[in-house]
Amino acid sequence: MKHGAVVTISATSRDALEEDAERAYLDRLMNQIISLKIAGGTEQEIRSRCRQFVRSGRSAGFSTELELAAYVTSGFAFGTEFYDREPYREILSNSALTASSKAKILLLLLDDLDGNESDDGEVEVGEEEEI
Amino acid sequence: MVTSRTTARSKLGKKKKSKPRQQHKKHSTQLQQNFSATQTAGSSVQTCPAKKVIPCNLVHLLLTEPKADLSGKLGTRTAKIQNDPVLHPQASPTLLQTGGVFQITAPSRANSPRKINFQATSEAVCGGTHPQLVFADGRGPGGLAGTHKNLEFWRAPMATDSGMPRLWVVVNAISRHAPRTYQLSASVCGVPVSKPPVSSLHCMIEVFPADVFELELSIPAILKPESLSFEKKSSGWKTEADRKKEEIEKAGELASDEYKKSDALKSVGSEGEFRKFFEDLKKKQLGVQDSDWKDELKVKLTQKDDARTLEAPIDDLIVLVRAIRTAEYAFKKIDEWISNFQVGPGVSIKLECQFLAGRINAKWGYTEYTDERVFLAIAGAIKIDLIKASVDFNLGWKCAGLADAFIFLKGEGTLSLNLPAVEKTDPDTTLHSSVKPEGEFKPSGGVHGALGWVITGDVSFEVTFKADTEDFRVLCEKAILKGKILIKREPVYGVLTCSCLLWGTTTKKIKVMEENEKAGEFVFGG
Repeated sequence: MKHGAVVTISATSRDALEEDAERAYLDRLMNQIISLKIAGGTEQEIRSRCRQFVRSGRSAGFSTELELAAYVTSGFAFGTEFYDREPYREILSNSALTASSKAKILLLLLDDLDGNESDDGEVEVGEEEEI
Repeated sequence: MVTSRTTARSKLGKKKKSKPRQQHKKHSTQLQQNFSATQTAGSSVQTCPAKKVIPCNLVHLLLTEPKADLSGKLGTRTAKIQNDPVLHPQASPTLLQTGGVFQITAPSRANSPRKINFQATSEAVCGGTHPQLVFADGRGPGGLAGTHKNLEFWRAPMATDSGMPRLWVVVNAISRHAPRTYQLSASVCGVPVSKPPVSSLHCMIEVFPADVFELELSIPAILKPESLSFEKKSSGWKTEADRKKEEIEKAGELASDEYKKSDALKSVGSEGEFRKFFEDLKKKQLGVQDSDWKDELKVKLTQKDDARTLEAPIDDLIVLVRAIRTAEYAFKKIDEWISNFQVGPGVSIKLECQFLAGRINAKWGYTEYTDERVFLAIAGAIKIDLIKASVDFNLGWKCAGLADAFIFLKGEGTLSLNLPAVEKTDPDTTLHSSVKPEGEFKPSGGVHGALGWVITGDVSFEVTFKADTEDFRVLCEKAILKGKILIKREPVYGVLTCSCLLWGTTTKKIKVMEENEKAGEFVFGG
């Protein structure tokens, strides 16, 4: 191949690669959820729920592996429709926060499950205070 | 910062945390380890984000504690968190690497929170939603697009929050308390103007209890030094209190026997109730007050949680006092073997003993240091006489009307536990937690006697008391007062020298008393 040559991948091949990458990511997510022991059911059921959460996470603006993993894990840990409940709804709907920041907050909330960070689980979002 | 210094974090970092907590910590850590923060999920190609060109760069984070508690004095503490590998000892404000820990103290939720201002300083911002702050405080996790946030913190709940539990629980509550950790971070695009690019900085706040504990414990001589009196051969040497105790026990046993025989009594109540009723009756008859020492026992244990002051009960000390009594009764076994002899005229006895009389004063609590650290400030002293005793026996002895002997035992001494005043006023001072008993009590004596005019004998002996400690720790980070003090009496051997007009002189070593491994056992910190 000549230096500087452009390799074109056909749309079919690209779709196949994307599909393969998506499957691999779902496998990793599923294994992670199983190892965290936060989900019941068969592997098929967990995989199916992972796929649903990934879809819903993408529509909420999450895109990177970690952002989506935080979202999916939150779905298993906090309940299926956690995004409709406070405090998660407030975090997810805050337009001032980037997806990365929202994912970080979800990770803090996952840490908080056993009451380490907050006794009452209250979450505050988007309010800047005077020093 | 210098990392080799001892901090509250390093002391407590080794503490075993509860399992669920560790698991949840692992959840977020595992996710961060196993999934990329930049790679698009489910994509087969490494995405190349659009190159950002508008300057947007972090310089440092600044934590400011406007009302810091610096060993009881109000002050301001600040820490700057930056991406700088160079050490800056003695810097002001304190400089921490990104990921560094800023330790603070805070009261319980019954009080106003400790406040920290969290501020992100940027070289430039892109004009979008940067910087992004993500934080957690006592109100929970949160985030905002902005430069600063006022955070509020309370310490984690303690065993003492819902009323004061047992004394030892309060005394050692601090060393069982794990600090709470809160994470803070700021992120921007990471496009510099002149400084190196810094897209994110993070740090942690560790919260220790601000409670200040104070203990003043004065243990009196529970059994007053008193001379024992001899009543009859079968009852041995006993104090008036010993005799009364026996009478009470007898009354109880009699009541138990009666109870067992009577169906009518069984229908009225339990054997224990019946027994107690008669024992109490006997106590009243004899004028015995079980709690007469309580007035002399002075204990003040307070926990000051900001505006709240709590006082601990003394239930545990009652257990301790019972142990002291048991030890004192055991001590009297010195003379048990003497009581088996038939004592003739010319008796002179003096036996005095005190166990565990003394004072313990201590004050402790976490306090903030001028840098990023918190340390356990401790001040106190201990002076306890484990045994203070004197023995002076001079007894004439007759055996079956044949022998005349003279027995004597003399000695006095003190075994004590002393920890002179100690004070830890900075995190770099190390207090030595172990303290060993000192002194000795080793009475010695002998017997000189004659069997008619044919045989004469001499026995010489020595009684040795020793004190030791087991996992005993005082006034240190690991425990304020915890462990066992053991008092042991070694076996008593006598060297018998017998002279006979007919067969000459012979010497033999005889065991007069078995050793007592637990002549006294005092448990602190339950």
